[in-house]
Amino acid sequence: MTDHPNLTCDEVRDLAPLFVTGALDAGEMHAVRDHLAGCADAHAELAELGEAATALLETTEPAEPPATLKPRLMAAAAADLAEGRHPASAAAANIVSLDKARARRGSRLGWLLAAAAVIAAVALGGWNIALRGQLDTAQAYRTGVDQALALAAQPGSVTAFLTAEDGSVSGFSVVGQDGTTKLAVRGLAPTTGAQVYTAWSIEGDNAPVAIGDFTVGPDGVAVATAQAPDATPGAVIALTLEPNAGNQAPMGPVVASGVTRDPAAG
Amino acid sequence: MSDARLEPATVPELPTGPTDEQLLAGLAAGRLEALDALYERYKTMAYGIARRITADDALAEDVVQEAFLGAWRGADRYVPGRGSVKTWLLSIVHHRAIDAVRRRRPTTELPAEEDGKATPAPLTMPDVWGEVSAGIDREQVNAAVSTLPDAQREALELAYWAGLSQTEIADRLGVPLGTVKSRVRLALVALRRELGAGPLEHAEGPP
Repeated sequence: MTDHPNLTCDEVRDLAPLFVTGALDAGEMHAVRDHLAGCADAHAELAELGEAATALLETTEPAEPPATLKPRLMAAAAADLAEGRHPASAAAANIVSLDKARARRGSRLGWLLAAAAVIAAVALGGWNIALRGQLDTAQAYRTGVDQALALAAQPGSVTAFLTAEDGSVSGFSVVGQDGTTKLAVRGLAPTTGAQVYTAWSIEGDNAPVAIGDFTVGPDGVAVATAQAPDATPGAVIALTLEPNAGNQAPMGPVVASGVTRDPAAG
Repeated sequence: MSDARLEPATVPELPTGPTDEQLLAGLAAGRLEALDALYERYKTMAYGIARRITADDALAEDVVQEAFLGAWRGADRYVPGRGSVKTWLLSIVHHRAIDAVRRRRPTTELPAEEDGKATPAPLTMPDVWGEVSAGIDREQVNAAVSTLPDAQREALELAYWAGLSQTEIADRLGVPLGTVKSRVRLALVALRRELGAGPLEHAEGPP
């Protein structure tokens, strides 16, 4: 519905101060934009007044948003990638299909080495485990990583790196061709009472499918085996902290998420 | 808190790490960690702006999420010559916050002479302007705003922060529409001059 009036250049100049401050109503905003799109005059006065208006953004006192906002944003952004709403997701899907056969033959080992390097970096970065005497925690995590790596080496497996809001949670999830899923995650807050972490698989526009629940002790490490519907590249794997086990839809906050990809593609 | 979650050795700060432009290229390429970093950099400004306009914490959260998702999906539409990434991003927040305030309000408050559309047009990317000059800080802008005559400052604040349309501002101030326009224009022209951007060449408006 765009039956707003056609504006003259003078009318646009007249509306300029309210246009650049956002104080026109929707119809007037459209009328100005329509005029600008078809006008030979660059209407530099708009940019000049607009520059003064954007300086006002600086006058705002910064405020810390709730911590729950970031996981929500990141999960929505990851879902964009998975569901093709992000411009880069279509291009990425293309490359996968073109290179799949060749890459599967040649570069699975190369990718695994690269993945191992990433995991080593994760293991070293931020936590000086040996000095902190947390060898048990490290060992549990490594065992989980070894199992997941073994599964990732199987043809048809897909892998998602799981990350959180602030980098406090990291790990990865491998889904085998038959849906067997290995998770190795650390940095999780310990569960209390009936709380569980639930892993979800989200494919395209479908509702999240719960693929497994697990609890986490004081070491913050989760090494778990779950069962996903299948191994589809581009699915989102998300971890939520649920108030209780067995929920059919996520009730709690997303604590980490990642998009599965075919290792052979990258 | 788990024992395994020790304090990180370093916290990324502004002076180091990728530039805003590099992060935005990461957004365009679909890299979540770039979005993460850009969010960390501007979340407090974004939330502050959204809360100031909406005066509603929950709505402000939605606005910030929508704005960052807008930047995520539309990063390839950023034009480097037309202002910094920061201004671009915060302008999206401003734009979406005003839109959210208008959507929240009953449609009966729409001006009577409008063509009766009850729902706002789909969200577009904002019309983004550059900066008067790079690196202006809050104190400078506040000082410049404080030099404005009260009537101009009031009109400017209502136009930029209240989410009101021009007719609503006119009602609020009890002055004709033309007076609202001229006060906001004069305020912007003075602000630009105070901030050292030099004389306006084009913004004189119709006689």
